[in-house]
This record gives sequence, structure tokens and C-alpha cells, in this order.
Amino acid sequence: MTTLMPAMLTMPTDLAKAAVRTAVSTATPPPVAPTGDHHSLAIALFAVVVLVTLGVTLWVGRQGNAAEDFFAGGRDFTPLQNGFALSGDYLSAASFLGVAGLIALYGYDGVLYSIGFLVAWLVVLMLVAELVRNAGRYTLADVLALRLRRRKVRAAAGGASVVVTLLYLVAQMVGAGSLVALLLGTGSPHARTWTIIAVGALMIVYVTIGGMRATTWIQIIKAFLLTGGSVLLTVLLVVRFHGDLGELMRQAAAHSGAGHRYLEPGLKYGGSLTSRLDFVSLGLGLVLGTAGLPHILSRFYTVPTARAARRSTMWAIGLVGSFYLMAIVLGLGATALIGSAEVHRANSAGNTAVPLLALVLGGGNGSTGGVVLFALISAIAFATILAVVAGLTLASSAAFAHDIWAGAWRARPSRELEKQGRGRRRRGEAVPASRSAKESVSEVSEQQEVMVARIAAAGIGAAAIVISLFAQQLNVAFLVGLAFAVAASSNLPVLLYSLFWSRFTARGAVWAVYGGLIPAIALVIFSPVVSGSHEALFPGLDFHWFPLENPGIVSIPLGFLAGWIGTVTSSEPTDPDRFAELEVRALTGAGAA
Amino acid sequence: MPQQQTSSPGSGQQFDWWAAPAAGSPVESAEPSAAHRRTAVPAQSGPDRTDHVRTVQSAEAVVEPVAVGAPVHGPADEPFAQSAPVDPAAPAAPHAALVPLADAPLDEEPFADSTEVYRAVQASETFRQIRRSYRTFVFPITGGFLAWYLLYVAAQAGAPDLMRREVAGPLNVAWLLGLSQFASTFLLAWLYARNARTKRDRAALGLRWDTQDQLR
Repeated sequence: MTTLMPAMLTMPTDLAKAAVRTAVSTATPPPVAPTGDHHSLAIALFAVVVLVTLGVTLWVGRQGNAAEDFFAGGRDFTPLQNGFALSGDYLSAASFLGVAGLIALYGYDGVLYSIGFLVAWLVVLMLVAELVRNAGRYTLADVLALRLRRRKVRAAAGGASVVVTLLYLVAQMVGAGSLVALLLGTGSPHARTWTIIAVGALMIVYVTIGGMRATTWIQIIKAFLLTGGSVLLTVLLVVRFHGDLGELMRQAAAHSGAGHRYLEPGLKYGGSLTSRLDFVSLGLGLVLGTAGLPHILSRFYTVPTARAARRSTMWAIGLVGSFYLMAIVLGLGATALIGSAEVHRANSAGNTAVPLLALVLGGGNGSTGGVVLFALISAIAFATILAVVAGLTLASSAAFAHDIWAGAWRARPSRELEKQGRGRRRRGEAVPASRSAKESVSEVSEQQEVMVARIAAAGIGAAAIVISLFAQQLNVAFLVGLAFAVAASSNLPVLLYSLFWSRFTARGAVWAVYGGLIPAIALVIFSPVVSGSHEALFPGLDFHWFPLENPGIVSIPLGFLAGWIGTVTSSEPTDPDRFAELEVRALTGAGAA
Repeated sequence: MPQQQTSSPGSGQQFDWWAAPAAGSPVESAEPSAAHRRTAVPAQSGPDRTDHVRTVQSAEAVVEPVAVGAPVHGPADEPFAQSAPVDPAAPAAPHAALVPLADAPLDEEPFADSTEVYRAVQASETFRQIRRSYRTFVFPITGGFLAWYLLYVAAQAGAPDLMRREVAGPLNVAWLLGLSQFASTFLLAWLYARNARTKRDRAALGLRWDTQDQLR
């Protein structure tokens, strides 16, 4: 999800600053400033996380080398496993630490922020999960390609997927650098740099060796740890308040420095009409963007049927929803027991609120319980970072190898192959229905595709490391909002039009992708997050004219509009045959991979 | 949520539980005991349907054995059957599932070009029924929850005073609306899954099976 939102705090309203300042005088926080003693255990647990995930990668990496194994994990995960993996892919360290920290600092506005991430799953569940599972094979562009057999459609959709995942990946890796440095208690730039390099190297190893199977298992482990850690802390916290959540809220308000305003909207997103409108734009992007995130969509191919995809989404909704409910409680708890001022002092974005809370709940600084709990929570955050970047790298390499390289650049005549495959299968019995016809015919190309995907994973990973190293001093937290906005403006319109609009054409698809992608990126370039304010990417320059930080409210309608205009002005007729195939496949699963 | 086994571990071969009951249903149709489960399978369509399925399916050694063990598989792969007993509306859907074989000219020409098969299936009443059932549920609900979320978000921007009004204890309108977003999300997800399970799954499954038969 979002990374470590430093930017969340980079635009604090004066109100919030005042709140934090007053908190110093009113709250009486326990002395919990992190000292060196609990970091060695944290380092040891980090090493355990790395060893376990590497072990899993090596173990499952040997289970199969086909394209289906690499891109779709063999399609034999259960809904429960995939539900955990979905929530693992979705909940980044930022949700764990960032959302709780946001709530610790801004109270209700943090809650407001988290809700969009959950509601988004209804779009995924109802409009996307089952249909995508039935209609596609490995990537989002497969769904479009089933209907619009054009190289440019695949290239556009694959390109948009690579852009979305790369934006998200850089945000995660830069965040990982500062977060790990924070958890290990070293502020040195060296620690950051080496963290970025190490995280990048690990994710390349996971993806190239283990493919989707290893990535899925890593997500499962991480989601399990994350849920377990949250439950543990929540239980400890609720027991401490004798189950009285009202008292928890009152205590939090009392120690927030903002009084009752802590529990009301406006501490963070209420400063001006622009900032409120900005939140509407962000919320729109969050709700619609999730259904267009390539690393979430490709997860539906790891289960055997559409029904299993639905059930894994149900699990994911349950897990993500309960996780955010726990994050709210933990954020309130951090404020109630530590105080907003202290949370803000430890890290201005509130990212250490949960680890500090763990320290307090375990018995305070210096106590064994506190140290163990702090180290445990830090290790969970680290596992979270590793899992999310691995998922993103895999989705990105799949989009590159399967869509751009094999689908568009090499442009093998997949339609012809499929027809031949079907014809052959009439007599060649014993080909199970759920297997794709293509598979038998084009095994060689699929092997090459996997090889290209492995190389692409290494290349994309290396590129992400380099970009992150350059960007580590910059404020890149807006990239997550941008990734969601791009996904909502380019991927979602083209996906929904393809699935539901019988008249949609290839030209409409290309227009929808670029008509959402280009405005989203362009608006951000001319927004205050890139230039014109002292928290901007380039604080020294000022060429901004777009007032909002999130382009969604403009670019999402533009993406839908461009797809519509492209279709109605298209000279080529729509192909009802292909739409029939897509519709029947999507709704019934006939011929699904 | 009970856990459904969707693959057979260790078999190497991908086994499709989703598809299995369809093969079984015409065969079972002779047993009155399980009648409530596939009430609507028309008895008269049984014989020729079975033949068709048999000839094509005989190659699929993976599926066949399970299809015969019919009485067991119903409850086993319908974990929701207990929580949601027989829905009164459910019988209508499976009934439709077998119609295309009767009304479309597919049976005479089972090896038609895939495009023709898809076109014929798309035009069949069964498929229209599935699509209608899906769209009439999903489109209004999606519009509803998107509007509900956007109203909630817009209320922060447009009516902050209303959101600040206190309701009970430390809770104000904003908190109540926020928590009800959580509740509505869980509720709608559950309603959608129930709807799909009771109104759509069986018919879609039957049609998938028919279509795949015609495709090979």
C-alpha cells in the first residue's frame, strides 16, 4: 500500500502542527525513546526472516519450471492461501506502520485514509476477480488480448502495468531504506543505501529463482506474521484498557494534544478546500486503483477456478478489513499510551508508532518483554517490505515478458496457434479441459518467455535499485498515490470496457490506456509534489499549476472518456465474435486457463 | 469461511472440482434422493445428454471417477450448502443450464469452430440468464457502494460540521460513518458471494461444461 508516507506529514496543516506542539505540554508520555539495546535482537530476527524466505524460495523454486509455474504458481493454491497472499501483497509496511502512525498523529483523518483501501476490494470482488481469472492467463493484458488481438493494445496495457509497478516499487524501496534504518536505530545514510541494495538483491533472488510460487509463499508467511503481530498487540492493548474502547478513545484524545478535535475530521485533510478536494481525489484513486493493480490481478491466476478466485478475495477482504480495524486500535493506543508529541518526535511521519507501542506494551524500554516485542514487530515490518517488493517485481517482469516482449514485440501469432491447438485436441485426447490449448503447441516460446521474465526481473530490480538510490534523499511518498491513480485511470477503464462493453474497439483500448496514463503523470509533474513547495521533489524549482497533489479526480474520468471517444470514433467495426468468446469465458469459465 | 479444497494435492494433474458436478449431474438424475440438489435437471434431457457427455468425457480419466461418486461430492464441494440451504430461486438456474443443447444446433455439430460455439452459447437463454443474474446484482450494488463511499468522503470536504456532531460517548457522526463503511464492505462482500453461489454458480458451471464439450 502506501509507503511510509513521509509526505503524509510533509503537508501538515498548521492545525496539526499546533496540535503536536501543544501535546508536549499536556501529555505525560512514558520515556520510551528507542535506545540501542533492543536493536541487536531485531537484527537477529531480520536475519531469520531473510534465511526463512530464501529457504522457501530455494525449496519451492525447484517444483516446476514451466511458464504456468513461473507466472501463476502452477495455479494450484487454495483460496485460503491465495487470500493470505492477496492481503500480503496489498498490505505493505506502510499500512502496518504508516496507517497506525497516521492515526496516532491525526486521529480520525488516519481512519478516513484507511477506509478507501478496504472499500476498493469490493470493486475487485464484484467486477474483476472472477472475470479476470476466467478470461486471462498471466497478466491483465491477457484479458484485453482475448478480445482485441492487436499488438498495440498489448503493448499499451503491458507498458501501463510496468509503469504502475515501477512507481510503486521505487516508493516501497526508498521507504524500506529509511524504515529499516529507523528500526535498527541508525540514521546513517550508509545503512539506508545498503538496505536498499540488500532489499533489491533479495527481491531479485526471490523472483528469478522462485517465480510466482515462491513469491506467493513469501506473501503467505508475511501475511500470517503481520496478522499474528497485529492480533497480539491489539489483544495486549485491549487487555490493558480492560476492553473499554471508549476509554481508549478518550485517553487518545487526551494525549493527542488536540483534545476532541483529534476524534473529528480535519486535523490533516481539513486545512483548506484544496486539501479536502485533494483527499477526495486520493480516495477516488484508492477505491478504483486497487482493481487495476497488476500485482493484485495476477494473483487471481494462482488459483484453479473463478470460484476459488472469488473465495480468495473474500478471505482477503476479511483479512484486510480486520487488519485496518486493528490498525485503528493500535494507532489510538499509541497516542493514548505514548502521546502524539512523542510519536512525532521519534519519526515525523509516525512510522515508529507501532514499534514504540510494542515496547510499551511489552513492559517498557529495558524490559525483556518490551525488547522482544519491539524486535518482533520490526522483523514483521521487514518481512512485509520484502514480500511486497517481490510481488511488485514479479508483476512487472510478467508484464514485460508476457505482454511487451512476447505479446507485442515478438508478436507470435497466438490466435492461429490456438486454433491449431484446438483442432489437434479433437483427436488428441486426454488434454484436460482446464489446460490451455496453446500450451502444447508453444512450449518453446513459453520457455523463452520465462527466461525473458527472469532477465526482466533482474533488470527491473536493478533499475529500481538505481532509481531508489538516486531518489533516497527525495520525497517520493506521492508515488504510491500516483501508482493507484495511474492504475485507476488507465488499467481500470480499459479492463472494464473490455469486460462489459460490446462495442469496445482496439483503438478505444489504446486511447483509454494512454488517455489515463499521460494525464495522470503530466498532472503530477505540474503539481505541488514535484515543484513549488518546500516538501516537493525539487524544492528549488517552481513550475506547478495544478493545485492538487493527487491527479485521480481529473485523470480517472479522462481515462474513461478517452476510451469512449476512441471507440465511437473508431473506423474499424467491433468484433462480436471475440466479444462472445470473452463474455462466455469470463462468466462461465469455459476454456479458461 | 470453510476451506474448500480446490486442487488435489499430489495428483500432479490439475483437477477441477468446479467442473466435476456437471459431469455427474445427468448421471445422478435418476436418483430421487438427491433431487433437491439438481431439481431442475430435466429428466428427458438426461439420456442424450449423458451420451454426449460420456463420449466426450471418456477420455478424461481424471474427471470420470469422481463424477460417478455422485452422492458424496455434493456436500463435500459445496461447503456453503449448510450455511445457505436450498435457495428457493436456485432451481431455475440449473434448469437453464442444459437448454442450449436443445435449442441451439450445437449437438449435431459438436466440433464446430470455436467462434461459432461461443456465439451460440452467448445467444443461448441460459447464458443470458447467467449474465442477467450477474449484472442485475453487481451493477446496482457497485454504483451504490461507490456512491456511498464518495458521499462519505465528500462529506468531510463539504459538511465538516455535520461530521463533528457527537452521537454517543466519544463517537461522532464521522466515526459512525467510517465504521459503517467497514460494516457495509463486509456485508456486501458476503451478499455478493451468497448471490453468486446460489443464483449463478451452478448454471455457470453447467454451461462451462457444455461449452467445453462443444469446443473439443
